[in-house]
Amino acid sequence: MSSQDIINKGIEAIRQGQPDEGARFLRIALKDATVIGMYRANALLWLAETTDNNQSKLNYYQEALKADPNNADVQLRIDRLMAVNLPPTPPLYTIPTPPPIENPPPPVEFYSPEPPISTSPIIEPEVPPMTIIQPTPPKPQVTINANALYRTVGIRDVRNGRGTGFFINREGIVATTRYVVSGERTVRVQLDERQEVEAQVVRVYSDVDLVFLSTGLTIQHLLPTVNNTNLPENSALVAHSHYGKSVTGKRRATKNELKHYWIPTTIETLPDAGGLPLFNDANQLVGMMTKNTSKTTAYCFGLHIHHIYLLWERTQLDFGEPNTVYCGKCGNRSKSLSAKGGYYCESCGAVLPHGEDIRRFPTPEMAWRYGENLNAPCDYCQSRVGFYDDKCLRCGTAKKKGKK
Amino acid sequence: MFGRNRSKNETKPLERYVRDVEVILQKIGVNLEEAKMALEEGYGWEFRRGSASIEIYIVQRDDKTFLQVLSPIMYLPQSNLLPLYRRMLEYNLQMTSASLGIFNDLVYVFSERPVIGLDADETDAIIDFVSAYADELDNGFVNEFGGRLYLQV
Repeated sequence: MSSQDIINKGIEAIRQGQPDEGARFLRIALKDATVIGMYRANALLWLAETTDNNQSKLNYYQEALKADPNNADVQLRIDRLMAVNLPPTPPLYTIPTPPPIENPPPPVEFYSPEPPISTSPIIEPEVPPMTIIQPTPPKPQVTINANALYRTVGIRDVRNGRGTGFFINREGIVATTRYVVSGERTVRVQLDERQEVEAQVVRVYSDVDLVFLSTGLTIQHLLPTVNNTNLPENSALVAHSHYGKSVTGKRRATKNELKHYWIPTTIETLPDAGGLPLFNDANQLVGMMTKNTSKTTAYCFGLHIHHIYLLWERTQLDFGEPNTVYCGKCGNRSKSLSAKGGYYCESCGAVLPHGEDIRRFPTPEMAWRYGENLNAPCDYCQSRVGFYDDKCLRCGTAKKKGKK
Repeated sequence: MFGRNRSKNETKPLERYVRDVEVILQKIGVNLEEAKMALEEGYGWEFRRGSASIEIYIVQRDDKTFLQVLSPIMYLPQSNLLPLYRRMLEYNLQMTSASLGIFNDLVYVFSERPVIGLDADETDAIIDFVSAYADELDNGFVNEFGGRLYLQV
């Protein structure tokens, strides 16, 4: 059986409402390196119809475009998928047009419960000759489609349920929310239905609910970003979850004084734990959706993409400093690593990873690192740890009047 | 804490307690469908009581099962930690049926009791204690020491 026959089998199975079986046939056929051009693109378009995951669809479309760069149908589908109000199941053809190839992909509604065209059982395809199907080399642990545009990634195995994130640079750094990642040091990042990598948490900014993850991947295409820092009131917004759902809303007008980086929206509920990329009506990335609300409304807020980039630049400066280590408790990078006895994060006091499984001992010489010994001694206990509310932070004794 | 270190062979008795706690939560007006947390392991519910966010977990330790009621109140500030920690320890000595604690960079009001003998009235009272403390303390802490209220801009 030729690869084209296998493709036809796959398409027939999909038409009969058996997407899994159809996808299996198509994947077998696509292993054949001699299936190229519009035939390959056609198979990939049909394969894209077997998944509801927009990211996977997009990957198939990108691959199809690579196989057949002048295929207007593929480009149309990509444009549709990337459009602001993502139609989950848009019919691409209302008027049947002469198909360029034998089996054009169907409108996306093909899953509707129509009676099957044929009830004949699907025949298991014969294994194509070895000369047609090239043996695939053993794959490295993570292979990503170099041409793919990963609009979202999924964050799994986290305390608050699954969340979404997105790449912010070609070095594979993912932005998501602190609420999604919780206090984890590593998380599983899902690129599409079949690809997943482990990512390290490299920095947390709790004050703006932002986390940067390092996936170690190299990304070719990034989401187009808005140039303007100001979003007009009532401008349309849409946020895409990695798990197939999108939410739409507007940039909400508010009289409350807000930090410039928060984007008030009319979105009330998110389809997952947060971290969804937020787009404007020009399909430009404007920020990241969080589950944060204000005291007076139930509307969720986004975090502006320019602030995310600003904080990433700050994070890179931290990386530039030698001997720093990530504190998983507070998300800061500690400089205590270089100091003898520097077991604790100077930001939050937590034991750092290198100090966890060793015998720790008092290190008074580290006091300066924690901001101690910079103050006048307490009259009662002589501690120089400092005062708050005119009381010694060590013993609580009130400071004598007139003493600084 | 938070039921993360349980061994898997303890699941059967735990599930029995889960059903008991779900009955209690229903009695005090919690919508179980909305409240159930999607945890990879263990059982938890999350809902609002007043303005406080309440998280409930069932955990097993040393063959005993406990009900944990937590309310995350704020993210730790970048500075002023020492006075904040001292204030929290001072509050701990004054609080009834609840205490303050830190998990990663989040400050929680926390209460725990064995599940055995637990009834709806007592559960309701524990949740009231925790939510009242959370309401009372969160703004004061943030105003004085900085940081950000839990899930608020």
